[in-house]
Amino acid sequence: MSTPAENLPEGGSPRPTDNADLHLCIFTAIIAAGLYAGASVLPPPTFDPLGSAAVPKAVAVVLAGLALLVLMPYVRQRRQSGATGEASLQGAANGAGIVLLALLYTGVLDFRIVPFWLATLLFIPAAGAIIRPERSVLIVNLIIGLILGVGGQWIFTKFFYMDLPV
Amino acid sequence: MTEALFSALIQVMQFPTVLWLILGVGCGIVVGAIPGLGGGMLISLTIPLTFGMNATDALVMMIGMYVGAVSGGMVSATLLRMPGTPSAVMTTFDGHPMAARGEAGRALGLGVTASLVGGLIAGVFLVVMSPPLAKLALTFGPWEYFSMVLLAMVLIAALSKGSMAKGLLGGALGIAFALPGLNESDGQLRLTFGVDELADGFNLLPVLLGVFVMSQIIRDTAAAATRGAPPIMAKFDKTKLPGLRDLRRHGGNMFRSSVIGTFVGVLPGVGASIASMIAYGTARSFSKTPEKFGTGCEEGIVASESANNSNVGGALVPLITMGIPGSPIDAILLGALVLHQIQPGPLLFVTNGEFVWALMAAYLIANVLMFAMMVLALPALARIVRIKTAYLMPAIFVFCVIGAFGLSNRMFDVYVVIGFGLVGVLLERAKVPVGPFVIGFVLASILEAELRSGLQASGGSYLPMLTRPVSLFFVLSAGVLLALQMIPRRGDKT
Repeated sequence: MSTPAENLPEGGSPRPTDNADLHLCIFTAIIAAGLYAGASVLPPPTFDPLGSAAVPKAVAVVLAGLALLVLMPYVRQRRQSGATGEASLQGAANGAGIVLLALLYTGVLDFRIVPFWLATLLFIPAAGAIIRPERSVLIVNLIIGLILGVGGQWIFTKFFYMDLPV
Repeated sequence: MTEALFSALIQVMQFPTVLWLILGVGCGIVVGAIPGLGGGMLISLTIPLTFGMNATDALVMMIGMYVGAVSGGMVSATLLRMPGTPSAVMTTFDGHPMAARGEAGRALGLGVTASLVGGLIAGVFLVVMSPPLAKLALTFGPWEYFSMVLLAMVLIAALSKGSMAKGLLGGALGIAFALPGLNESDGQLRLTFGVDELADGFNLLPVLLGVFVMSQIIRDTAAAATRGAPPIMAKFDKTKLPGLRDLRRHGGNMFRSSVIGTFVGVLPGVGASIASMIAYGTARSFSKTPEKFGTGCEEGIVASESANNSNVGGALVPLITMGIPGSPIDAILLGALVLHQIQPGPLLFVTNGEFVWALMAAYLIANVLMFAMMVLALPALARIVRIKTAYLMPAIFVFCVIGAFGLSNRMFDVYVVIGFGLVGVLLERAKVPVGPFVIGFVLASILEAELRSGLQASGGSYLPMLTRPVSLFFVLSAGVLLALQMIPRRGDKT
């Protein structure tokens, strides 16, 4: 279960790295550049004074400015301390593992390689094993996977007419 | 007004609406009680399941979930010292010490009663304040609306936890992600970068599922590697409700904390956790024994629980009257309204009066149901809170996939969920509040549409924003708020 800090949507990771601010600024800069570049190729306004490009360009400029505002204290801190925090390698590996597994599961469904019930039956125990690699957890998750996979495929394709791979 | 409310109460109490409300409150309490899950997650996952329902039943159920989730958070806060939701953090300080000395039943009884009182007081404010506010909002033109949304965004950023720059950055990022797709005013496709699926832009539901649910799955999975032994649960037999003497003793505190919670809720984006902190601090300063706070003090539980529940009602006021979400969950409800073909905003009272009154009635009844269900189900809930992340999270992701895919039968939306899950993790690690991000995403279209209308009406001049009195008031308020934030505060760090 999560610790209280992890539950806070407003943030509050128990072990944030000092580099998180830098990553945020890089991400924001990429988004801002993408917005500005994407808006630059749009035609000039025809129906109204604003047009389609003005708001994206304005947001891009605001984002770039705010990224700088966040970056400045980060640089100051780096100069003073000269060190950065160390994230838990195991935690990062677990996080990356669940994302890759989620992408794999989605890809398998997207390209209809196996039916939904089988993909789910394999995904749930695998994801559970990343979180808690224990035999008892694996057995329970196999049962959950079977119920969710078979039951889910039956309910969502027969009653909700969803186009899940079967 | 009384007549409208009375008929709405009767409407909500009828079958099957009342069943949906009971289901919503029940699910909300359970999810709120489990640390790591929250109301935002639950409601996001529920939206796709409501497509076949009528709008009233769907929204009534979601309001039930909202009320239940905020209340459920106190269970694990008291028994495990782990707040089920952020709004129950302050309850932990006194709830758990009380439970540790064998008074879990009394702590939970006080908390449940305070939640009921808080919810009902906020309900009265909601019923009384909403109609005149909606009438006032009807007199607003595009410039007033634009300035108001601008002020809301600044408020959200200023009052969120952490630095204002990060709050504003969160809001701006939310707006940025809402821009790709078809520009409705001139039919121009923008920012699709050759991706055909982006012609519709990012749908609200996958974004919500990503930011609230997927990011939580990633965070919990990462945290599982470093987590120590599971917490020890305090002993709990049954709930002991407070008597009349207790109510007399805590009545003033309950009322004051409820009023604080309601008015903090009206401010967009502040949230129940901050409301309960303010109420807790106020209760402590009014207390004859402030030194007892944090050691298992009844006043602390009462203040925290009255405030966080009343905050829900307060946050519904701007949502119902102006279409401005008062919290991230209200932003989700706003999205649900749109998905159910209901146009939020001040006209909602005119075009869907019965629907609005039904929502307010649902909020009032949900609080009573929450009280009854919590009292009856607390022993069972005490067992549910121990459920393992390893069982919950994989199953929740499967529901995310089904929910996102079901929206328009395309896997692109599921990739969007995963992508925004990563964005959510990045925001959380950098301590950027997720509230402004979600609210920015939801309000972006209103912001742009109102600006466009205003400019069309004024022939391209921005001057009316400063010459119209109400608009000027909003702009000045936003400016003053920004200026106040520039003054360095003690202990304020980026």
